[in-house]
Amino acid sequence: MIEVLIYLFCLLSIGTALTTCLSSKIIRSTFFFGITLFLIAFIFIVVGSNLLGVVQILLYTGGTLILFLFSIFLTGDWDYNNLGETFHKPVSSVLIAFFFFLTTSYLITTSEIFIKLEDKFNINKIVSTQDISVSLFNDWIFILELSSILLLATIVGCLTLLKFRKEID
Amino acid sequence: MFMSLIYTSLFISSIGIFMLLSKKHILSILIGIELFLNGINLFFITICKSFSDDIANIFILFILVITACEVAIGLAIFLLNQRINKTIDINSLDRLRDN
Repeated sequence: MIEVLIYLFCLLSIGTALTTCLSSKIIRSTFFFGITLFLIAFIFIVVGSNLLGVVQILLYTGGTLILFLFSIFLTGDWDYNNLGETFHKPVSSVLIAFFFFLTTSYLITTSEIFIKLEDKFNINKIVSTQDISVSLFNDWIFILELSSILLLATIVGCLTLLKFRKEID
Repeated sequence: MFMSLIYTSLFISSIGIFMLLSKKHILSILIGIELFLNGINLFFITICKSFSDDIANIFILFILVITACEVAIGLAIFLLNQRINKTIDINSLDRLRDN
């Protein structure tokens, strides 16, 4: 049952990611991007990382999607000269993306480390939220503080840009 | 199942790279970066299932923080560009320096 769900979510997430890329309107692209984020969160939950799935849905999908939607609504007429529909150098972009996919796939399929990892792969392993929080507040406290400073700097940066915009007006 | 998850993550990352390189709309470029990082997150979580410790979960939490910061700043610049230059073209961002 879990395997079927994972295969289903994988296929759906690839499909919605492709639709995100190929949608002509940016609002449709954002909508399918949100569905992709939800499906990836469902994969997280199904494989046992419940905390990450919930964080992805509540904070990441919710926050990011709301930011994108607000940006689209605030800019009003969002498809200037059909900019969302056009592709800039599509052939070279496809080639680079395909090269990335082929190279990483080749490295992974031929690597002995990944063959060992595949043997050790355990889908039933549930990641405990308590273990993550204990590890986060003991071993990774310095990085946690750094990320909080980064968030603070982001708030200050956004406010500075907003102040700059107000002066222009 | 391991390889299907790995290939899904790589495919989503490739789509993100394609969006990042091919689109001129700033929001599409930001969505491309998000897709790429989500593919990487899925890759990490798949690898994490083969190890005994939960280090990948902590890495993904930090990646989520960095992504949220990047989106907030990116969208603020997008709004500023649209307000000043009256365009959403990525090539007009350098004109923000003059104002």
